[in-house]
Parts: sequence; C-alpha cells; structure tokens
Amino acid sequence: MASVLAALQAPPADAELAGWSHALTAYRSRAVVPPAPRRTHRPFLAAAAAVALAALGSVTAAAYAGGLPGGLQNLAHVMIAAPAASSSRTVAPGASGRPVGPSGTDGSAYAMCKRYLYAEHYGTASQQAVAYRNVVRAAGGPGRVAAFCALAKHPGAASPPGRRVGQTQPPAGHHGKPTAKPGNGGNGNGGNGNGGNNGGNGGNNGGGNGNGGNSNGGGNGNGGGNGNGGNGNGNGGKKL
Amino acid sequence: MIGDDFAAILKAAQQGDEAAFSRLWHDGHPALLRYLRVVAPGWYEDIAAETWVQVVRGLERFRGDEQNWRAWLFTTARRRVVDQTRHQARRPATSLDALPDPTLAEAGGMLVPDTADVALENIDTRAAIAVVSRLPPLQAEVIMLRVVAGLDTERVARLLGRSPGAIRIASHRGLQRLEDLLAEKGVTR
Repeated sequence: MASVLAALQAPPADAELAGWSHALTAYRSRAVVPPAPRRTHRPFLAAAAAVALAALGSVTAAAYAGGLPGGLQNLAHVMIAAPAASSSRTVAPGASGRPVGPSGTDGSAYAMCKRYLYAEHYGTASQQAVAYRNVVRAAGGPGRVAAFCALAKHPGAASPPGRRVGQTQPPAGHHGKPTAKPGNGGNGNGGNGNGGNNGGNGGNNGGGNGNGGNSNGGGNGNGGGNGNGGNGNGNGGKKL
Repeated sequence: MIGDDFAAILKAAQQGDEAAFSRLWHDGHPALLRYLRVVAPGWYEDIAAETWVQVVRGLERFRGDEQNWRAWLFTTARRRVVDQTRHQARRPATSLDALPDPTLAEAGGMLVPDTADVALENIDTRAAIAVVSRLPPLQAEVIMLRVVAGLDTERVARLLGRSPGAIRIASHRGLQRLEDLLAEKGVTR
C-alpha cells in the first residue's frame, strides 16, 4: 500500500513533462495589456490598418460611424464591421441583425483579413507570420493583399444605422495558440465572440465550435476534430 | 508542492515571469496528468493541455494560497472532463480505439476504464495508477485528489459536490480496497 501511494507521488517521468512547450506558448500569448501597434515592413494594408486603428485609438463607437476618410472607412468596414463609407445609413445586404464574428474555420476573405489585422497589432511575431502567410496566399501575392481585403465581404450583419460598433475582439483563437500536439487545429477555432456589431460581447460568446459555453474562456482548438475550441472569455477582447 | 515560496512565485508568474510560471507548471502538471489518467484515460493529455490554457487566461485574476491554487487547477480540469464526457456521450464513436465507451460516461459522468492492465511485479507510477483505476469511480477520484492533487478533505468535498463525510468514507473505502487488490495479487507492502 505504501508503495502504491509513494508511486502515485513519485517524481515526474520525462513523458509527463512533454507538455511544457505548449503551456509556455499559451503563457507567452496571453494578453495582459494591449501592446502598442507594431511597426512592420508589410505593405499598404498594415500601414493603412495602423492609421485606421490609430485614428480610432481607444475611442469607442462613434468614431467608427463614417468618420474616416473614404478609403480608410472601407478598410475599417472590412476589418471590423464599421459602417461602409458609401452606405453609412444602410444595412449591408444579407444582414441578419445578428452579430457574427468570423469563426475559426471560416476561411472567408473577411475572416482572414480580420485575423491579419489583429495579428499585426496584437499578435506575437509567429502569429503575424501565420496570418500574413495566409492572407498573402489567399490574395495571390503580397502586392494584392490590400485590394483583396478591401473587397472582402463581411459575412454577416454590418452595423445598422446609429448602432454602436463598439467593442470588437481579436479572434479569440489567437491567444494561447498551441504549438504542441493537442491544439494544432485550434488557432482559428474560437473566433466567435466578436461582438463587432453591437456594444456588447456579441452573440457567440461561447466559442463557435460546439464547445458548451466556456464563459471562462477555456478551450483551445482540439486537434482531434471534436470542435472543442472556442474562447468566450470577455477578457480576451480589446476595446478599440 | 511548492510550499513557502508559493505566494512569491504566483505573484511573479502573474506579472509575466516565465521562470515562475515554469515552477507552477512543473509542480502541477505531473499531478494533473496522473489524476486525469484515472478520471479521463483516453483524453488526459489533451485535457491537461486545455486546462493550462484556461488557467493561463485566468492567471492574473487568481487569488489564493497553494491549496486554493491546486483546487482551482483540478477544478478546471475536472470541468473539462465533464464537458468532454457530455460531448462524447452525444456523438457516436467514430473510432473504436480513439474514443472511450460512451456508456462508461454514464457511470457518474467519468471516463473510467473497466479493466486495467496491472503489472504489480514492479510498482511504479503507471502501475499505481492502473490499480487505483480499478476502484469505483468516486473512490478512485477521491484518492487521486487527496494523494496526488494534495487537496484536503474540505476542498475535495467542494470540488465533487459532496459532503466531507462522504469524502472521508470514500477515501477510507478506497484505501481499503486498494489493500485488498494488492493483497490478492500478492503484494503485501
């Protein structure tokens, strides 16, 4: 008996420490304070995005509602569902009134561009690299990223007239991006919870992939395909 | 267990000190894995990893001593086990060796194997876990939480939603049954 109990408390075997790199990545990726916008040598898109975000700064809602010069407004429209410059009083076709963020598995241009934007400003270097690679691949080349993203359609509701756009959150899957075994599916999973179209945390707070409402923000993409990702942690969000 | 340094290490980890976080992780993870190997044998690596992701996210907001910390760690893990159990119970198994038998999930909501390969000739950690896994689910879990997670009876009771008395009884019976299992295999120590 004593040997059983002692064995249960024996020092760790190497195999039991194999998960460290994954945990360290999660620790490094956690958002404590929003970092300053990063300067990169990326093309137009990053510069425009930086200007847009800097112009918007940490001011909430009202700044989004058509207050930017046309080109940037459209960029902001694409990126963060601010009202489009040309139709600030109309709702985009197909709007359902339900706030929709990009889901992690949504490969749409909009989602990809949005992830790129946030990675540029809040991501780690490796997150930026991944997001940039994806968007360049989708756009067909580095010089085409700006046009690609400017044309990317918002998949869901744009902001109805007069409503605050307010809080948007980075795709939650970017935090704690896993590098080791369990979560390789997970980085994109959990982009739901972007309440870009209303003032609050948006409809999909529980994370989009079938994980039952982790309001504590748990969950990381589970590579086993059980859709256990999703991050509904309100703390993961950043007010712009 | 970290002991007296815990408060300082926690604070440092909350402020971004990787070495401090490393202490916390290296202290907690093996215990977490062993506990999960008993309550969620098919999923322990994944659930452990997800647990840390969740803990990291809530790290700054955590307040408490080492017992509180361990309780939080294991509570987080257990919730994921429960979620996983529910999730699996709803979906048909797609691969027989990848997924645990859904009916086992009905036994108190835990994924406990019904047989265990026990090599009692060499008692080592793996074998010890296998023996504990042969106990009824509650007793197995109580023993792991008391012995491996290092939680006191009160905290185990809270974690499992039972009275401290029930935990003491389960602990006593579990240890008794362990003795019996070991005796029947000829291990007397």
